[in-house]
Amino acid sequence: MSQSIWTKLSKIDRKYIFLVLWIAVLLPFTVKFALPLTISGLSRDFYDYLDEMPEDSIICYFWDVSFAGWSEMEASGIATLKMLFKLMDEKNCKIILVGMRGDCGPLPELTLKQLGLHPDQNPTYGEMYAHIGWIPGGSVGMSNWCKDIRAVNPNDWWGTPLDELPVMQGINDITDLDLVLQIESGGVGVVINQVVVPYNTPFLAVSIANNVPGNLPLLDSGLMTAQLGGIRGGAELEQLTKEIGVGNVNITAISTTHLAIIALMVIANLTYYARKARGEI
Amino acid sequence: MSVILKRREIPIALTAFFALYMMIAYHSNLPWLSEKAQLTVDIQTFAQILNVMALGLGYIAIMRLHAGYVIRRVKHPQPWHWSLWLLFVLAITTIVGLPWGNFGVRSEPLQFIFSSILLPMRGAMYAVVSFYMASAAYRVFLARNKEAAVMLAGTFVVMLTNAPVGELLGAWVGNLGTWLLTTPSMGGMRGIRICGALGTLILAWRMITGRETGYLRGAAEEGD
Amino acid sequence: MTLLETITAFTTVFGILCIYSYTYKDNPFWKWATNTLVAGYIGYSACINIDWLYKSILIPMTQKMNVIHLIALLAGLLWYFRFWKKHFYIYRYALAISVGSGIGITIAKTTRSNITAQIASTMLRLYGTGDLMGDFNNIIIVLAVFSTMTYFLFTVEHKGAIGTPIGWISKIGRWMLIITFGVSFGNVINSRMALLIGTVYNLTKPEHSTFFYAIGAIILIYLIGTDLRMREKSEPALTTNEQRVNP
Repeated sequence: MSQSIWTKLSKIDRKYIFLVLWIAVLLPFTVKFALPLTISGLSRDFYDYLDEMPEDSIICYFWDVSFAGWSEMEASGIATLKMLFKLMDEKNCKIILVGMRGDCGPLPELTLKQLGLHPDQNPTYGEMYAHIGWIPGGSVGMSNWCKDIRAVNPNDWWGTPLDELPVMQGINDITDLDLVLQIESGGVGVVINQVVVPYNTPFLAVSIANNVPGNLPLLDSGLMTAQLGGIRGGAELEQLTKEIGVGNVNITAISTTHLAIIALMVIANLTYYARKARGEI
Repeated sequence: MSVILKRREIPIALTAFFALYMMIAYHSNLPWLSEKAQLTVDIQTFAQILNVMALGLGYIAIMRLHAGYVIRRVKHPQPWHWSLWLLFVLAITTIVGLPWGNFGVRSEPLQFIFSSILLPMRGAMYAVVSFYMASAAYRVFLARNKEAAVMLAGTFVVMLTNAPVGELLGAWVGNLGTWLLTTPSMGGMRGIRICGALGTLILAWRMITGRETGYLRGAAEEGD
Repeated sequence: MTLLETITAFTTVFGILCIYSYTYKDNPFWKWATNTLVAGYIGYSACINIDWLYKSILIPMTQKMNVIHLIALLAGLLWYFRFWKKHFYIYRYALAISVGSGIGITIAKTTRSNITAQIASTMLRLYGTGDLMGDFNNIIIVLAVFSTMTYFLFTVEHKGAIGTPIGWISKIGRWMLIITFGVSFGNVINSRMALLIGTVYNLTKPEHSTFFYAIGAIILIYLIGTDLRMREKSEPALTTNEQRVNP
């Protein structure tokens, strides 16, 4: 007995679903087009806070993103870093990069290389910015680092003692920092609990889209000052800072893939109700 | 002696001591018993190094597992030659990654492994899940009842809020999505967060008082 | 492109496509990729931790002995008793210290971040903020928090003078959670798609695109070819009647 179109649709091989998604993700990279992007309140608050940082501020950028999450966070990570270096140039701010997991020892190094700010490329490394390695040991390690930075990281990532870096003069513990940022794909719990709660340091999060709803209570309660979410947040920050990069290239693909998923779910529901109406289920 | 050392009471007492010490030190202002006291710093440094020293557990476990597959020439769960390849890559990565000679974490060979193998492949590994998520969304995410319909509607609105294409339908999509995210969803998340924290407190108390000892149990053939 | 850049581009594209080949079916490219990735990551993690221990702990100790560091390094060896069947129990001491200090350091602060700060910021004005929408939003937030907590905490039977109102509030909590999970799922989809787009962007970069098309075609041809061969092998043989009619 031949099956109705609805039954065939309900039993469709998943390879065809994968094919639809492949087409949706490859299309914007072959046929280039752009859609208008409205800046959200979250991204604007993040940008405004950074833009209004006072002169001579000391900013610490925690890197807590895994290799896997970097595909999504590259846009917002690089856009934020560029904005921080702009603050360094215009307002004499000091920028300290530090990893919170093993993946984030080499990741900031790779990013600095991309921006032409690696010590091999830029002889002024260490004067106003430094990458001081990573903090092992989870919450306990972070708590230790906050009390004495040199106890956990006596040298920077390339082995130079911190005392020999001009940027680290007078910076010994968390109380010497004016702002803390975290690019994260695994949660803001460690920074909130070990940095914000004990020391009341202002905190900006650059979060993976997954974590944005869960972080909103912290934002609302004041423990977090501002939040940038996912690839869209990165694209919006690029537009605000006028440094168009990976985010704006990739955001169009977000539209096509989301439309594909919505179309699949609508077809699935139509199929379900059609089969129900025909008494097949 | 080993009979005494095997008793669970000693590790439970250690867990309780360290947990209570850390909690009291945070809230105390006594110079010898505060977060900044030398004893507290020493204990935290000790715990930090202890945590880092656990790095070898996964390494040795994987080595033992796949060496066993190679020795026994197994066909399941994967043919033994794949395990041999795994051990080979593990050995190469370790040799070029350890801090000796011209090698180390910052050396060119490990940077190559990191930037052209680990970074792109781990991203792809997690991205593969998106295909299965699309397939699951097609087969499972059906508006069978009111609750599923509301959940589906919320998902659609948020997806259209996150994608620039949603703005072509009008500003109301973004406004509704933002309202859902910052009002009912935020309230629900807050409720979940508070209840989760209460659960964590209760679990911590159970672990301190020795009622929860699951973390001390090892694999069945290794436990007592 | 230099030779190193070519090898880097080839390895990157080949690795990514081997992982994605699993979307067609399980195959040797996928197996190669997973085994390489697991081994590479575990080896890398071990090396980066050893690097920190060596540079931040061991080398400073050669200049000035630190007794705490020495004891911690020796205590860290207790972890490895896990692999010794006879003295497995010794590993519990290291585990107990690690778990205890983790609990203590987290619980002390999570009480403020996840309980008191959250409850304090739920104490909102429900009327008279000067903005009708603001009043409405505050009511929704307070209702959402209160009802979801009731749903989780008050698991009494929804009967009687006390149980019935708890039942109504729990029902509202359930609906709030449904909205919450719907919104969360929307963001999860966004996140996963962003991961996919990020890796595909990597594949379509100018230095990678030639390898992408070439390696992609080879892997696809291999997968479709083996699929067709397997289907030919599994087609049913002629029945004996047919064989009798058409020998």
